[in-house]
Amino acid sequence: MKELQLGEFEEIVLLTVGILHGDAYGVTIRNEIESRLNREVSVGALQTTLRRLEKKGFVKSAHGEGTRARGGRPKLYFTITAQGQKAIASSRETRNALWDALPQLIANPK
Amino acid sequence: MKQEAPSFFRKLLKWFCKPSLYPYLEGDLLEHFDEKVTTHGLRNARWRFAKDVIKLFRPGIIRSIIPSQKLFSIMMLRHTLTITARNFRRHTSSFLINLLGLSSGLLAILFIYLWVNDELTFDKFHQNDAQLYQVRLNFASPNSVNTVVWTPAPLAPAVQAAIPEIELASRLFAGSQNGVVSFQEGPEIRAKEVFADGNLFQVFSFSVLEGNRENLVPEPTSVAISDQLALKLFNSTDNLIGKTLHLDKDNLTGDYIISGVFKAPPANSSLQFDAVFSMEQLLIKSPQMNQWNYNNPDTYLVLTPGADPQAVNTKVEELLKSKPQVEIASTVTEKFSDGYLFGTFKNGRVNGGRITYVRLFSGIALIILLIACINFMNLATAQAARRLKEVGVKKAMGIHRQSLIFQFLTESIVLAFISLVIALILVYLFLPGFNTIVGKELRLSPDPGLITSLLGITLITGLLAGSYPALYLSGFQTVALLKGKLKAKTNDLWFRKGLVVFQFTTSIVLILSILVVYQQIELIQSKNLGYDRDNVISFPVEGKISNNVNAFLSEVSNLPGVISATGAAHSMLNNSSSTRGVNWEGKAPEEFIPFKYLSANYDLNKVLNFEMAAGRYYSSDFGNDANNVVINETAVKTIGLENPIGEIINIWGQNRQIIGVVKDFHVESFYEEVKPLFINLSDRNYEIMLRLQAGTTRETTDRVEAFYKEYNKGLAFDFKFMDTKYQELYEAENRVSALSQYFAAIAMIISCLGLFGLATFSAERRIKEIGIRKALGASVASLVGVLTGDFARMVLIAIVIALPLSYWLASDWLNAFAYHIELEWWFFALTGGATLLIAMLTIGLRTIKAATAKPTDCLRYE
Repeated sequence: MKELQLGEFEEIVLLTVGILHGDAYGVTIRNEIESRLNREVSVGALQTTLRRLEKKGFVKSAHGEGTRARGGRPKLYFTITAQGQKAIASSRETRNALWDALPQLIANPK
Repeated sequence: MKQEAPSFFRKLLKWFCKPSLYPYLEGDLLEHFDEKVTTHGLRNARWRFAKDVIKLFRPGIIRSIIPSQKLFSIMMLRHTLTITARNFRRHTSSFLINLLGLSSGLLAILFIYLWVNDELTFDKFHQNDAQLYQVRLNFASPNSVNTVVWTPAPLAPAVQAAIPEIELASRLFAGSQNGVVSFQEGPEIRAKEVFADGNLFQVFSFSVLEGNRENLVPEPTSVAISDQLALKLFNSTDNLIGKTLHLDKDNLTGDYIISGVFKAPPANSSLQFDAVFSMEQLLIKSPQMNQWNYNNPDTYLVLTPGADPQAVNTKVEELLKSKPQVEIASTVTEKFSDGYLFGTFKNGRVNGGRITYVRLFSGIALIILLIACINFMNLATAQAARRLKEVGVKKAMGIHRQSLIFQFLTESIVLAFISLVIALILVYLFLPGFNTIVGKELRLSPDPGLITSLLGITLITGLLAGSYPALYLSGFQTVALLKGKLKAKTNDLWFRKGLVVFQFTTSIVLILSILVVYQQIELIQSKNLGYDRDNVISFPVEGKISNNVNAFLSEVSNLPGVISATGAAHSMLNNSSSTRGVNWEGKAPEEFIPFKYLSANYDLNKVLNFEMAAGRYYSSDFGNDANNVVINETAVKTIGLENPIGEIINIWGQNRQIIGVVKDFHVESFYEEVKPLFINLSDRNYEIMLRLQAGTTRETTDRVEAFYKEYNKGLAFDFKFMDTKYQELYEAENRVSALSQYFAAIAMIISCLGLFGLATFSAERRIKEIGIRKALGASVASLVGVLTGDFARMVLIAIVIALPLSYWLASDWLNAFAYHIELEWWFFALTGGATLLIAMLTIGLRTIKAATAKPTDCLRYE
């Protein structure tokens, strides 16, 4: 189980890579998180998290095309791996199990 | 309008980012920037770009400092080490030359490091070190200012009461003669005692084993003793408080009660004592010492944190000057621990001291190491040709220049560390000898400071030695390397020659300086002082002798082998007693002319064999000489007398008739000129001097010792030969001279090693040329000439540079002595000639071998 554990930001990034499905690279991931979660993301935090996920084997990267706006620089696309899918699923399960165990009173604060 | 991302931050990113991430990251950032320009405007977008770049500066994104990650892998390192080892094996001679050079360089620097470190930490161990100051007084005389540590006894209590910045003030007085302490019927021991205030151990951090640290000598009759003295007296250091100790010392003789035991001061303390008696007792017994015009004890101050020592000094000076009896020019308040290294004063200001030697030797150490590093640089660059193929192939395979630099630096660092091991072994072997020369107890202990410095020094040596070859070898063009079409740039040749010239210049300066120092010390030690110091022994007046010195003198002079005996109140050497109490007719009353004086007994002239220029010395044959005086020739000149004998001068308020004039003799170090002096007849003697029959000194000293032990039961006979004492006066100069001889030899050897290496290489490279020249009929002599000409020129240039430089340095040093040698032309001729000869021999050895080789061997096709 331990190797499937995710940090909060890691989980968000991994989910976003999944959502973008095939179009996930630095700029799109950042925009997606910023617009969905309404929070500012620094490139530094995002890039180190991506490297970490790649090291853990949750995402893999592939070399893409360059565009004019990028000054001709190639994109680095990320896709979620089977292991990554397991990780988010496991994370969701853990959360659900915890939610189920929570007493009614606290779960629905008035 | 072109909308640009801030170029500085793009460059910054490129600089710190991992190359593997850089293109993607920059792309992302640029794309993002593009978007932001349309949504938020250019300013905002540029601002965000900068912020993003800065936030990327974090681990995981930053490239490693080492150029390529592979470099650090074990594989690459092992490869480098293998190549290094093979190179060492293949070029054994240059490897050995480098090893010898670097390890002797490190050896020199290690010794000097140990010595300098010891000097720099001297007296620094006191907890109050930062606030601990010592007061010195400046006295003006017509031509100079004398600075002394002796201060009035009432000063310390007065300043502590009057000046709020002074937390503690303490007095310490060590008499010139040591008393004798004993316990009941136990052994009598000559202890080094001091008289001090009770707060001494609050001011200084000597550790207290028993007793009240705040006030270790609470009563006038209290005494605190060191653990070492306790062991000698009681065979124990425990439960001694309350025991009674007997002190035998003039008017202080009596019983004292032990109130404390302390650990004897460590070797790196300038204050050394075995027993601490109360200052109060000294002042009770000698009340005249408690006056403002008597300068005796040292005064130490502990200032409050943050106090300005300069301001405190001004206040101390004002306080002293407000006392009518005090005639000082000014005061100096110097940090106590600085006193050891900066203890020489000139015109009332600090003017160096031992720090001169610390700086001198640090400089020498650096120069020697530099010379050794130059050897490595020179040999490595000269032999570049041997490594060309290797570098070329590596470059063709796409090695980074950084990796090549790394490889060559590794090579030199490995060599430096091997040299370090050799140097450490040598230091370990030679440390006892070194300790004898410098008179210290240095140890090679593995403390963290030493280890870090060692590793640091070695690493720096390796980097320094390897830097130029690394840059030089890695800078060639690949194609040129592989074609072997390498033309040494004239710049490089000049650089190498410049280094050799530098090596020899420094070696010559060192050798010449040492020659001068040696000659000067010879002069001092052999110079006629005006009296004969051979076969004279001296020992302190103690025990029963002090009851009646004259009786002892007459008895001891009757012993066989003793020619004559006398007593004096001062040591003949380095005597600093001087007075202004000499007046004569025609002297302006406001004119201060200090006279040196010797208080001595009858027969001083016979013991010291000094000559009279006129008149006679004191003698009991002429009745009472109390109203007469003997002066020296300088005094006659100072007073301005034509016929001195029979003239009257006034000394200390008493008119005295001059009965004799002695020829000038030295009572001070050679830094000083002979001053006007008078000899005062006195039997208050503290030191006995005996002239012994030459040739039988051994038997006679045994005889005197037996007599002394009989006369003074239980006291050890502690005598010294006067010429030994004299040599001790110039201990510092002697040590500097001995040490610098060794270091100059090391410098010369290293320089010659380098030259030998270069000559070897040059002979190897020109082997074809030699072969052809020989085949065409060149003689061995002309070939040697061809091969050595280049080197001879370099050494000559070095000589031309070095001689004026060393002339200037030497005359500067010599001017500190009032009596010094003249710089003779032959010093320079000898040094220059010797250097040239040694250098030629070094090169000759190698070139003759090359020149006598058979041309067929040289010319055969490999």
